[in-house]
Amino acid sequence: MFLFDIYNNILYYTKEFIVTSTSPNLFIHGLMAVFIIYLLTKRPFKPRQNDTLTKAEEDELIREWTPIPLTPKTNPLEVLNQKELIIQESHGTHVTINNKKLLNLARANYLGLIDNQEINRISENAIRKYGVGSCGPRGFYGTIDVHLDLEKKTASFMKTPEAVLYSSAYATISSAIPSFSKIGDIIIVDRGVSQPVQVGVSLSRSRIYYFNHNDMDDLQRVLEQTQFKGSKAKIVRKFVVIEGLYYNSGTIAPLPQILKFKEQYKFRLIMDESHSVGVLGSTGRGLTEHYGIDTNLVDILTGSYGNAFSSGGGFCCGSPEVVYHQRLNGVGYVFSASLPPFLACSSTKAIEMLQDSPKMLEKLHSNIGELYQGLNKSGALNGLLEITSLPISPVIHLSLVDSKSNKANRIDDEILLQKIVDKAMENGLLLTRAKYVTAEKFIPKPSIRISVSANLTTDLINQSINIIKNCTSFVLSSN
Amino acid sequence: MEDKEDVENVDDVGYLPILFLYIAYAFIIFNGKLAEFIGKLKGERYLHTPEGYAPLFVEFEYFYQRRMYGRIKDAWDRPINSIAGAWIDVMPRASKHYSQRLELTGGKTIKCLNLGSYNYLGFAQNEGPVADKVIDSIYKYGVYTGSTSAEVGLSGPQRDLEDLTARFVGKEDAMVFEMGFATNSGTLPALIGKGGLIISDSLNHASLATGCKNTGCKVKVFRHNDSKHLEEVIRESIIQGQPRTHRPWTMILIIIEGIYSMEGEVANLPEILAIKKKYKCYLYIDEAHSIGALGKTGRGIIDYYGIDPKEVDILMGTYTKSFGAIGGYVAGDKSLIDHLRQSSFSQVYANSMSPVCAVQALEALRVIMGEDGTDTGAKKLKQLHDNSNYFREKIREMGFVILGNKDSPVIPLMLFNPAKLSAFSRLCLEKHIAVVVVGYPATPLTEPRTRFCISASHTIEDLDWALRQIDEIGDLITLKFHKGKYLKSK
Repeated sequence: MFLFDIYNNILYYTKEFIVTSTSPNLFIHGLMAVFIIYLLTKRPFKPRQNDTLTKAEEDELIREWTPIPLTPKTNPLEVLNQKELIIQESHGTHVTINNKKLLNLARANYLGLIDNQEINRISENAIRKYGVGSCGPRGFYGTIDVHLDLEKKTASFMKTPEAVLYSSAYATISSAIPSFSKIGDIIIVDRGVSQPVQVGVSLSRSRIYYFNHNDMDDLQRVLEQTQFKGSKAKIVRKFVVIEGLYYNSGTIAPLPQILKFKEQYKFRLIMDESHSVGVLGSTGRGLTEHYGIDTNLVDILTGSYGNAFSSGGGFCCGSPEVVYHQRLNGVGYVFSASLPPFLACSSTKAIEMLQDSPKMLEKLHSNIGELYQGLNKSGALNGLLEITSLPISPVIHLSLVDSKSNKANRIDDEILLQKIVDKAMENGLLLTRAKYVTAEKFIPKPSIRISVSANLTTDLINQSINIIKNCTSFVLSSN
Repeated sequence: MEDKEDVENVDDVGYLPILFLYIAYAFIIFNGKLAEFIGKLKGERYLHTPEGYAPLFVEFEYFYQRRMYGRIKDAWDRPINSIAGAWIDVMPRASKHYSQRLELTGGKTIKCLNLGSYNYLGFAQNEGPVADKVIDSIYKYGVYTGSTSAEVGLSGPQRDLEDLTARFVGKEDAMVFEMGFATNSGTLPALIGKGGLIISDSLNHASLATGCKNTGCKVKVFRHNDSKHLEEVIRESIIQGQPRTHRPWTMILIIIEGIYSMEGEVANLPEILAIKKKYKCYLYIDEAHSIGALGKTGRGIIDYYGIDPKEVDILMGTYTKSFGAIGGYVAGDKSLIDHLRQSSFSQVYANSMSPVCAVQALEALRVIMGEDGTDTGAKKLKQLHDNSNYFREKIREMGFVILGNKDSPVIPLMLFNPAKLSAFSRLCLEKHIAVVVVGYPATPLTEPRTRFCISASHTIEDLDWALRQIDEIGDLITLKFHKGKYLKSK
């Protein structure tokens, strides 16, 4: 019935329209109808026939294409960096290079455990039991009981529920970040982070925001900027990425302030403690202990066994969910052979030794202090260099006082620093410039990077301060 | 050389197994969702997300972990407490419920024949001349260097290893990394930059994919081992130039693997090489699984096809598999390696290789090359070759669907069902065989499989015994899809 009504109505109004409409109106409608019929009957538009390339043209294009060579033109900095030092032997505080025994201030050996006799013995036993390599990733029979022991040991040392082991410190942070942060998420990064962290950040494909190194006002600005407004907005995962102790500058992150922001802005904190675990704090738990903060307030915490514990591999600790997630999604964990068992054993032993003898850590702290004070004394660096790192940092950065910080003149600075390094080697001290890849995004100031070790004695420290002093004065006079 | 008839086609098995596979997945997902729903009604919470935060995980990922992977997780991560040699001691684990973690029971270990580890040449050893030299090196160098190769972490053995590796693969120079994964992921960005094009095989390893992602340049994929498709992709790319701007590409880098670890397939190098030359591309071969395992002298895919190493621009490989150590290398022209030493991320920022691992790789390499004055290396190579082909031939005769080429020590056996993944793995463990099973996402969804890695340290008796067990299991859970028609010629 209803439909019939509509039909009737239409019929009625159509009749009305034709009867009541004036003739010009009808005429215009007629014209339009004719025009539409004209358009419909017109020949359709055809694209030009010869748009596609012929085979001969394609071949010509391919013939003409010439790639650039695989090896790019050498740049002077790379040439300067090419000088190689081969370690022939390594004993305690000294290494032998070019048949010359040198005092080591260049290799990270913070707790002085390279060539520790107990560690060596443990490693020998491990090789006698497990061989060298594990011959497979963790998933495929590459999980050895010593890996599980080390994970437990690390978790209890860091006072976190769990820890996951990676076979290289470099792969740890660069896999951990992309396993959590994905496309569409927000990552806020300190500009001073080192390259492995940068790699992780860029691999995540997230939206990346940078804040100035350790600048909390700037961090707050970025946090405000990325804060979503309006109640209906979807909550986006947000991460702030920092380093505990910045390797590139020897500074530490203002963690208490960042944690305050964390409460306010609800982000998750990723912290790389490669150079602060085993160094900072009264038991070596790192930056959190330094500030007296619960480690579990940091959501994702990564570290390395390579610097303080003088062994291979890296770890990530956090809640059970965070750790378990990486066992399936951390590319560097899933798709890589596991850590050689003997390195797992030596790391476990190193952590045990640190727990058993806190003196080791005290010695490291006092050595850092002594070396820092010695170099900081007026005249020690002859006004040529200055210390840019903090007094508690095991990495001491010496950079030029009047550094020409623009990129074009970088090479001049590097050559000058290399002269100091070469001169120091002549005098029996092993130093190194901090080397970076030229493609790095925020390349730090040129510097000489010193790594302090717990096994240095006061004599050796004074000796090295003297050598550095002499070298700087020599280089200054020769210029 | 390559025997075309040898490569089997997965499609030959018909639609029935695939149909059952989809039904199985649908059932698992439905079951999981139902359990989730009931859990929600009961008030159970799985993701503890604090107020105001976004959940840390993508929901499906977490569902997959808990309800799908959780049920079969005992097939992976099995801990062992022995050397990863021909026989391993697997430590038993158990959990109260599949959603909970597996804990070590502390019970007696299960002695299993190891068909899972990449111990191709049997260098996973804790005694013998190689192990003795390794132990000596601990006391000379310490276990770790504490610095990068670019700064002061280059040890004597590492340099020797670099020189010997270069000589072994027939390149001017080589450089060594701490970790195989980082070799790929850190070096690719130094090789190719903005304006370049990477053409990658569709089944390349995750480390290569990570490296490609890290370069920031355009990556195109060609169908696995399909040189015709590769040529199409290259032609199209050169003609069209870069997207939007249509500028010509600065360079094109083809990335392939020697042996594909999940397929056991050897790359079709001669054809790819011809294309590479024709179109002036560069070629990067990841020989992680083929170095030491393929070819008469163990020199990998180059040796297998008898190709001049100079024709390939970059040869990459690892010391994890055939050499029983850990780490990776990149070999190429001297000028290129000199450049990479200063520009590869994992050379400049990752610590150098442990000197102890370097000695292991170095000594193993000396044995393979016969420079230790014995014929142990040659014997091992022959044993691996014979073992692989024996096992492949026998298991194929039983009617299983096997992938990969002759001579390849990686032998995948198709299972076609997610439920059979765990069933096969558990039954093998019961019968004292340690096998690796792989499913989605490491393989395509429709192709769950198990993978045998043959080693030179297996004896023929070991393999015969294992074959008998696998035969029984295959009958029990119906895996022999190829009855009667396995020798199909094309």
